[in-house]
Amino acid sequence: MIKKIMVNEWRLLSREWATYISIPIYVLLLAYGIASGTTWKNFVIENTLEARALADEGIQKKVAKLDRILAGEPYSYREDPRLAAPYARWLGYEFAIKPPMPTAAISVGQSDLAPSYLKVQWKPMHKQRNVDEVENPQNLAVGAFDLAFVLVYLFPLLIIALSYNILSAEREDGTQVLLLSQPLSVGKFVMGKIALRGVLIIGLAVGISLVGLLVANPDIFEANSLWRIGILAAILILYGAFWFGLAVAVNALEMKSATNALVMMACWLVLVPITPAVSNISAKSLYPLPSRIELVEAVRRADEQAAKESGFERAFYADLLRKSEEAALEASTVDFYLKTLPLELHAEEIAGPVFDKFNNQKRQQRELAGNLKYLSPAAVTQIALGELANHSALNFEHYKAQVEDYHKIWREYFMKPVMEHRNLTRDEMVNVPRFTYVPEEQSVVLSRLLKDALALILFAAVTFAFGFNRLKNYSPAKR
Amino acid sequence: MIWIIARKEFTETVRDGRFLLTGFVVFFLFISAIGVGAIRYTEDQAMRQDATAEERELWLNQGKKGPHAAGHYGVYAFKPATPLAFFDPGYNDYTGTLQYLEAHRENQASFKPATDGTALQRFGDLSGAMVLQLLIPLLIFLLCFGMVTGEREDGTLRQLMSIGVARSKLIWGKAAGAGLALSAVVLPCVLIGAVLAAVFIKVDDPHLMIGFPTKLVVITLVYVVFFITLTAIALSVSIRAKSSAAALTTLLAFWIVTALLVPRIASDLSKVIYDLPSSFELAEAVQKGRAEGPHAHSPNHPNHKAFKKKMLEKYNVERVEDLPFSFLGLALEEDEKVGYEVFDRTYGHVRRTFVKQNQLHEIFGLLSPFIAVKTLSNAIAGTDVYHSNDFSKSAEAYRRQMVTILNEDIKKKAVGMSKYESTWGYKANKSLWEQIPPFDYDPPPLATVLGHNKLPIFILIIWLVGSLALLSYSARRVKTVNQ
Repeated sequence: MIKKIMVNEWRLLSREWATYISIPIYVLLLAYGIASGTTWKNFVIENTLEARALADEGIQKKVAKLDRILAGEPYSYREDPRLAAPYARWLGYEFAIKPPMPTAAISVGQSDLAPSYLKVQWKPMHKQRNVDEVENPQNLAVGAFDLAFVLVYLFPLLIIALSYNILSAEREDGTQVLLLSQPLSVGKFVMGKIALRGVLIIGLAVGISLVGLLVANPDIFEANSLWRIGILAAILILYGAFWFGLAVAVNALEMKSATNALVMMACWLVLVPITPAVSNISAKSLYPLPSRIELVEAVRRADEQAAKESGFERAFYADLLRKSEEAALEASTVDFYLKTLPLELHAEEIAGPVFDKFNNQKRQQRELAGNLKYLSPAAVTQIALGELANHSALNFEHYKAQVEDYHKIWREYFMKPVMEHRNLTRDEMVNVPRFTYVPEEQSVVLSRLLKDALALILFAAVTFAFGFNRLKNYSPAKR
Repeated sequence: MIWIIARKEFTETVRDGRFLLTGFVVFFLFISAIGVGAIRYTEDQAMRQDATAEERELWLNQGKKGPHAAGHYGVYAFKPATPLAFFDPGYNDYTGTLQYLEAHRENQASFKPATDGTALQRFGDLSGAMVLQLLIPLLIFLLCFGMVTGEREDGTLRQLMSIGVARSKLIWGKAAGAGLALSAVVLPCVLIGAVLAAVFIKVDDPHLMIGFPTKLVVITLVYVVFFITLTAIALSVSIRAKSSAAALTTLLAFWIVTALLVPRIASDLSKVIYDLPSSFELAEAVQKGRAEGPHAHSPNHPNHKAFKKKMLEKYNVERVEDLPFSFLGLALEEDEKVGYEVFDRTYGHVRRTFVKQNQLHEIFGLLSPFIAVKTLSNAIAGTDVYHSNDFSKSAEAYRRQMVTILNEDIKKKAVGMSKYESTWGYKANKSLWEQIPPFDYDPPPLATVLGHNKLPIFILIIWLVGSLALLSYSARRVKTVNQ
């Protein structure tokens, strides 16, 4: 019987002009979202590869310079690439890159805000300058027109447009009584209508998203990322199911079509833009993050305090200068770095509690926001899509933590020769430790996605249960 | 007659539970947003002022050191938040909050608050402006969609016509009624919001308050024009639609397309048409340009040698110690000059591209009044990209002044010294640090802001005139029954 209703519904839908406008626009938007995400992914790939190549080249150039020096090329003290402290502080650098996942085109997520390549040198990571990608703040604030936007914002709107009046229109047109005079329950009738629309809209969303992503990003096949695509399909089905469930629930309230449309739009407004925005501001207000300005000033104060405590002063060797400018420069430079490097570490210790407070507040704020997302299926879906693209806030936190760990390795590597009053050896210059990004464990990501999927199942189940339960007492005669 | 109709519409509307509920929700959201915005603004502004004062203290009391070392110690410039940011934070979360000013480099404003945001950051922050720009329009549509179609469906429109009510008077009366009902929601929002702002907000910097009352009047005017435009559109749709459901669907579709889709499409297209360099391309261009300089710290670099030769020849001496100015000072000065040209070209290109992208975005205002009103609201609140760029330019001008004073000091005071002596031996003290005035950024005056926003002003006027003309035209052609 449901199949018959679906066939009949298809006949009706296929005769409505709105179908021929909304469906192609929807398909076009999905395709545009995939293209836009893929373009962004390729841009990030290009930049991360370039960053890595630049770091490789930097290391090779310094080794080549050393080889020329060892072969007899004249050089001044400052030009010696073996000087460990200048190498660690400003001559040398590593680009810690986070290459995009093959599925990165699903969602731009945080990747336009958080850099995917960070320059690592001696200075603390928060002191590294100009790390952001060049982007117009207005465009950042408006957000990307990616697949995630189409799916989270527009996909429910199409569901609302095609299902807000599944029952009310029949009632208003006077066809409902006739239909329900058939040996058919209201529930089954609604199920048939919803099933047809579900197959059409969710089917298109899943089909186009999957095919489009795989065609535009064939590396998904090679990189063992198909499971992410599978979960994308599941998330879309569940998110779509919730909105269809809501349509059933609203129609079961036996209101007019216009009221149904209003109620469903109100639900969309509350669940898509308002609840996440209110949750965001609530998390920010309950766990206010000390401004970065405070951190900067804390570091400045700590630098001053450390310098005063140690009585730091740049040494000037007038006596050596009489012998040779180069000898005096070397003595001053060696003295400077011997004092400065431990001094900077001490200053960081002094400023540590302020950073700990900042990081603690940030963690609590993120945890609260992570819990508040369960108030809105749109927020759950948006964050899940970010996870699938490896572009969520948590993914970037994980990357930053790895960069911080690597930064410690970089410092330790160069601190040793500085404190031993010696230059780097050729071997040490060739074998400068490199950064390798390790994505989060699959099981960790999966467990987070599973929670998201369960939340969406719950959302969908509640709306469907409410709707079909109400339909049991539905009065077909009511107009 | 118009007044009678307006009163009737107003009474009917405020008796409608749907309107009351929605109005209350909007009111609650607006007041919450303003309250949170005011508290956050005050804390933020106080912290910026404290940090600015502390930064000045640190600069003045940095002790004896070489002026170039002081140039590397540098100064942090903190972008002040303009008072109306409590209502419309605009792009403040997406622009850097501070700029590190040091020798050799034009650093970009860094630490965008959004980078430290939660996973929900991209849904945006609830703000007073968001409520007025996105939710009040929906309230207007809710208010107006059935004003004419409802009368037609109930058969009362025909009766009204039969007793001699002029079509135009009826429609203008309904428009006035809608305006009254809307005022019943918006006015308490504005009044209580203003009280909250007055209680919570303390602005100690008088510069920030320059032109504040005028800005308030202009921003109010912008929103009034916006609401009138949307009311006219909604009523026109109600006149022309065949049913209330059709009117509502049309208006919701209009909202979705113009408030949601068009801004994102405009933003995406602006990126495609006016391509920005990647941070790599930018860094490479800066590095390449600066490599043309005298390499003040690398005595064996060919450019350094060439500059040294040029200076020795210019002043007709044999050794740098015999130059009338310190060679280090001269080399640093030259290095900065090369840098200025490079930074103006490279970062200037980025800023000009931002302007072009934003102008294209503004042109899309012809398709969406939401773009025009958001652009103007951000501009008047001082939270747009123009203000952010203006701050950066002002900070960079300060940096140039700072390094010029420092390099001048080396040039004059380290005369006769070798490079080692002038770098490591010569030390300046507080009297030099005091010669550099504190950094104080004043946002541009309203006239300048409006001058930069002629296009969105023009577009908003087009929307106003167009929508009123449409309403006037539609009002004369009200049909009593569907045909």
